[in-house]
Amino acid sequence: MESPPSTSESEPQPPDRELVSRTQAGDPTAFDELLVRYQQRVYGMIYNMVNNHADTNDLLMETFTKAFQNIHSYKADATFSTWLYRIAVNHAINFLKRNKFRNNLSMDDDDADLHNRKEFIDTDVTSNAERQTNLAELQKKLNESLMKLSEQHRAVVTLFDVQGLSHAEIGKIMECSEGTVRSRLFYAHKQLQKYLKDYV
Amino acid sequence: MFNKERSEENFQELQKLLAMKRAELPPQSYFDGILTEFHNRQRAQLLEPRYTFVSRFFEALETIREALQPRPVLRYAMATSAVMVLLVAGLKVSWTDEASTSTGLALQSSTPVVTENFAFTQALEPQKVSNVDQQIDAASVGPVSLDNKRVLPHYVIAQAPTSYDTAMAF
Repeated sequence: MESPPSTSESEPQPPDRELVSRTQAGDPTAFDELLVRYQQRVYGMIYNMVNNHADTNDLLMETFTKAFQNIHSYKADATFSTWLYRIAVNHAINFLKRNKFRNNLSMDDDDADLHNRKEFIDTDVTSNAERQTNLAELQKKLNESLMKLSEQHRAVVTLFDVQGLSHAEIGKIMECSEGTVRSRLFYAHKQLQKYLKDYV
Repeated sequence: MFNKERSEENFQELQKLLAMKRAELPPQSYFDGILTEFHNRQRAQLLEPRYTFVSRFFEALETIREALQPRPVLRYAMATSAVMVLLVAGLKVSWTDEASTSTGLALQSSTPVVTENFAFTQALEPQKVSNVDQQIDAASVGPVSLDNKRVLPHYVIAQAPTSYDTAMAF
């Protein structure tokens, strides 16, 4: 997680730590680089939590604003990505708790269509039209199933299965033990398996 | 054993499915605009008015005042109600004053009764009085009017008891 994937092989990216130090020293452009580096991952994380593009956009902005404002409180005992993910997860969980009733079934039609659009689906993954249709249906069902999970379980599944983080990293982000992460993950998988028994 | 393997296999299927969600991202043009939006929001925050405790307090007061402000239709009704309340309160105060005045009069009128009783006691024991050296006439201790004429005390000898029973009998 510390070394981010480089967009170009020829341009070596400065490590997160250096960018954070520069930001702390008063260089706001260094934070811009961090934002560009993590925007997609943080977006994906929040989106899979709230399942709504407009809310995700707001939460993404709030997450980076909070990170920027509190950059001096960042300690090097955790990686920047862990720290940033922690802000994003807490923001998303608080948002979901505040809007519990509104977001009971937040997978509104607009967003369903948005993610069925061609540009939202990786063309490498979907090779033909039939598969794409089945996939879209499956994705919709999967999204609905994810929304049935509690915020904590959804966060663990998102961080592990979608973001590809390790149990240890998730434990640091969610401030719980690795065992708790494993247990939550197992329970969430069981629940999802139950909801998707006709598909998997 | 079979179930466990089956379960793990299903989890793998599920995890493959979940991994596909990594591709669920908006187009790159959206991400190209995030930095600009972030800067715009930061600038907008700088322009936001800074609220102090005092300004928030007055703002809250203003909100309450606006909330309590009646609609034009209700103004007459509220004014009439206020006048009625004031009238009732004024009447109540005047009644209280009258009641306290009459109580004072009652207390004043009860004083002579005590005097009369004292005189009556004196009159019933003439022998005791006659033994005293000065031989005071028992009747002379009665009340004396301002023009030095003797006024006999007025006694209420008998007063018919008032019955509170109903006159009807079955």
